[in-house]
Amino acid sequence: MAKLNRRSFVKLGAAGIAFLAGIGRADKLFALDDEVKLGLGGKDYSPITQDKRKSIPSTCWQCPSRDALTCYTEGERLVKIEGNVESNRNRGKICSKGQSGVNQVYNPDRLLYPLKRIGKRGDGQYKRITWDEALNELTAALKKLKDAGTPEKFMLHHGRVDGSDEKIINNFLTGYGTGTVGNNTSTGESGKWTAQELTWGKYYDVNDTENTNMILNFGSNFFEDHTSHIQLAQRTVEAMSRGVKLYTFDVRLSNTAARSTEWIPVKPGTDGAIALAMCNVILDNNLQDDGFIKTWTNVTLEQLKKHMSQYTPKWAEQISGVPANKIKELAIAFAKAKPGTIVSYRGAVAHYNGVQNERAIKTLDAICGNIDVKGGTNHAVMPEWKFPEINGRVKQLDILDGFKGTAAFPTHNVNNQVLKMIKSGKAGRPAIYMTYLYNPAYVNGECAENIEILKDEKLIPYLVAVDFAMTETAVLADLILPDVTYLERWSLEDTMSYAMIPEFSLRQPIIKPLGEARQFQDVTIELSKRLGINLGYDSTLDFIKQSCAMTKVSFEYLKEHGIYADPSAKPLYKGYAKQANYGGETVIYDAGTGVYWDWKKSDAKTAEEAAASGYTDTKNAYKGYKGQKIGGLVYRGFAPDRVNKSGKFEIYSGLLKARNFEPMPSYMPIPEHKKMKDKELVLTTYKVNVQATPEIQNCKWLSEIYHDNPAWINPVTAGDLGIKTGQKIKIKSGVDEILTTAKVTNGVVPGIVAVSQYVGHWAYGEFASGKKSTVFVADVDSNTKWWKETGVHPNWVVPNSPDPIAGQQRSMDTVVTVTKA
Amino acid sequence: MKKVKKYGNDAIKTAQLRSGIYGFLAIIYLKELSAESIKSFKKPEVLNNLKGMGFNPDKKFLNTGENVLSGQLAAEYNRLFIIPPVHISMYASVWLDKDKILWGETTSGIKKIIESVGLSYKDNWDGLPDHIGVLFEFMKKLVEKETSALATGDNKTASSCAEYEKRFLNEYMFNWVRKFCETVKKETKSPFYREMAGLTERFIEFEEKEVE
Repeated sequence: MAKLNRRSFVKLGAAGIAFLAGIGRADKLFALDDEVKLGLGGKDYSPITQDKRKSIPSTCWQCPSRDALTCYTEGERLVKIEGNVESNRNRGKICSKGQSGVNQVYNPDRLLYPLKRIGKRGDGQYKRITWDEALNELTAALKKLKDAGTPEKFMLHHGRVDGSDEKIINNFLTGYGTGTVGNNTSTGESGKWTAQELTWGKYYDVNDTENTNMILNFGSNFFEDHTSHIQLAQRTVEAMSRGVKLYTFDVRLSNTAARSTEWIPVKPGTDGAIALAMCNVILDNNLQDDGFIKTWTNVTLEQLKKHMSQYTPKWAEQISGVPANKIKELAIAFAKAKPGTIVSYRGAVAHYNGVQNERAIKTLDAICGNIDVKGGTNHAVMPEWKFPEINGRVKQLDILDGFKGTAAFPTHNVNNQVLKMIKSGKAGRPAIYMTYLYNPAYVNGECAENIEILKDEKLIPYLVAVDFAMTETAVLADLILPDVTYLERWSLEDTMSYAMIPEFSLRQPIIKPLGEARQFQDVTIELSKRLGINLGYDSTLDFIKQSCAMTKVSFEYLKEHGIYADPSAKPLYKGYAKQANYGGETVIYDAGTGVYWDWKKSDAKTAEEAAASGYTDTKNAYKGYKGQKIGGLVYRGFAPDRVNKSGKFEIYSGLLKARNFEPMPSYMPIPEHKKMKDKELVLTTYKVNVQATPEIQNCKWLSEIYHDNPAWINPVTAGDLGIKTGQKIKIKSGVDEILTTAKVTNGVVPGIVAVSQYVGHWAYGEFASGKKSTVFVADVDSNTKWWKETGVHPNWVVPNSPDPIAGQQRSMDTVVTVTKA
Repeated sequence: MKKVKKYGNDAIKTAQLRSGIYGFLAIIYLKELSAESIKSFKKPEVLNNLKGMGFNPDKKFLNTGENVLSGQLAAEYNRLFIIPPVHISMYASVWLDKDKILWGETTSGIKKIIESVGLSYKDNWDGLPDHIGVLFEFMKKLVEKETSALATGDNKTASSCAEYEKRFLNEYMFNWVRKFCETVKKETKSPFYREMAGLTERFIEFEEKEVE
């Protein structure tokens, strides 16, 4: 039979069209109704019973991206998780971590009952107690501190908690009277956020790759992991499919670098030097956006040119190892892209010089006119929930921001120093240290010291862990309260949207909490009742319904759809250029900065005091910022957050100058790297998609994919050290040593050793630590688990060392030796 | 900003032709052909095009009235597809599932995809969700959507449609439809169904190459 060719295809097609046209009402002969509408989803069927599954929308929590989900149940069992196609953020897609949420719920190693320690701290001996017993004990301890007038001695240290989850906890803590509340931000990216606050105001940036023409990437492995992983990755892939080029600067051939147009290897901590040299080239060739620089920044073109003239491509080549010609070529292409956008993350930021690196990168975007424009680098657009709020004075132990002088602008605290502060006792110690979804024994550097401090009852008299899993910190706790997993929880989320249209999202229980696990927010409400704190809501669900009503977002709609975005909203660009409403009796003008501000919202006591000290030098003046005067008009400008910067894009930072840092974006060499001896290497850490957060190694589907993390070493370096692939090696720093195996590869630059983070647990459960539970029933897949490796955790050898501006944990700076074990 | 590659009129024309073919094949296989359908089939603009690609109906076919022909073809349709001993299954799960059963995993997968794009099965459709005619009809609807997207310059939707089509063809059609056609050609006593099976086979082979 002759094959169909184009000619006969046309004939067959014409016959088909004529045939259908000739039938008259052909529709009645067909089996399907309605029109195709892409991107609906939300339907699934059991492959065994063929029954239709119930679908419930919710929000993920496996990583900070918090993607919108569609979860499926059969009976009362969660069986499958997909992306919610209605979301303008992840647009129906989620990653493997999200799909593995099922493992979190049904992991036999999870905590289901309150537990009280009965042996020595750290011996692992517990007895099951009732919730009533647990809350009686905790209430008594809290009441004792409150009655003694020392509520600040109750410290709650939480991990990744946002939206209503955070607000409910904060209301309880405020009602109780403690401000000793820690977070986990400096472990990840506080250097990036503080740099943004010093430069363009409120932190969180969106790289609008969907609409861009060129992408530079400094140290972000965003195809595997990012604060907005799926949102950014899918839009970048689409951009690349229409020919947009992505250039990745990284010390390692990450999966992002490998899928980029070009991987440009760099020496660790030198990203800022490259960005500065690119600024130099652009200004030298007069390719800058004069209008933006003149109107919206606080420097003149001449000042900028003079400052950047020192950072030549040749200079940057010597610092970074990137050829000067490559820097020139990419700088010119980037300036001409209009718009381009620059992604940056821990590879550029988790260093001693991270804040300056990020400032240099944002300045590069700014001088090209890429700020807050379609296809550029934009302020995040987020939903603004209105929550019931408890006000009151709180007392605080001064242990959240590290030792005096640790960091000049610890705007997100310095959580990696908290245990050291407790050890020193100079600023006091909490009598109750409660962790909530935070595992300092594991996530901080210097794990051995963390354990030593957490074990010491003299330093921490009462350690309470609230978690859904038996973490490395929980195994040391005196009292363990079982939290629900995120798939059994009520929360309102406030994640940024890469569609540049705010999207409200709800997390709702897909199943009833297993065992006696209770949502911690409900526990804080119960504790409030016992302590006589009036919150004005009876439960988390009540709080959420009140918040929806206050925000004017339908709770019922959210329950049905999981997300809500105003259908008439348009993407928000150039918000800074909108005129500001700056009226008000207590609004004053600061001639030095051109800022209109409401002194009543600052710490100033009178208008006179505010006027005398001025906007910049009045504590918390930024809270009253109203607008920036430019020419004869007042604009929203680059509104400040957490620091008293003006409403300009501050390339020059007077705030940094006042703290004796270079006020212009500058290159800061890393002191330890300048003093490195022969055979010493820099330890760099990285994340792989399926183990990108500290809470997921016990998800068996993920651990099957990735459970071992040999150290990557360049062949030249390995040759110098006499190390071969597969060999046992010892990585030793000034604080500790770890044993692992070597993987010799050209996928890393010479002079470094790269070890992935977030495997190598020594608690959590069978799939994370390799230790089978002796108490609980083994997972059904225990018998088919084919691997024994659990990986090595690099944090044992990473010092708890903050950068001097933001207090960001310097996960990429550790100097080590590597020897055969 | 760089412009996305524009699809030309050729792409629209191709999509229109594909949609027509899928609709044609859907009617051929969904049920026994009605007299009205046969009347349309005999129209010159249908027959001439089919003749041009090697389809040569005999005089008996051309000279028999639609009502009579409808009855004859219905008998053959039933002999081939509905009743033992021939009973060539028109359902994908029987061809694709390991245990070769009706309403298997394949059926669920196909139903899910069809319903996930907003389509529903008509109340009067009494076949199973993975009938070969439904598969052709679903492809017709997808390609129609692609056609209208191309015509309005909505290249993103057009690309999404093409992706859906590719996935659906690869997962649920390329792996059995040609075998189905070979079986029909071998078992049928009707020149009409032999020719239709041959056309289907040739078209699916053509699509497979085009999609790849």
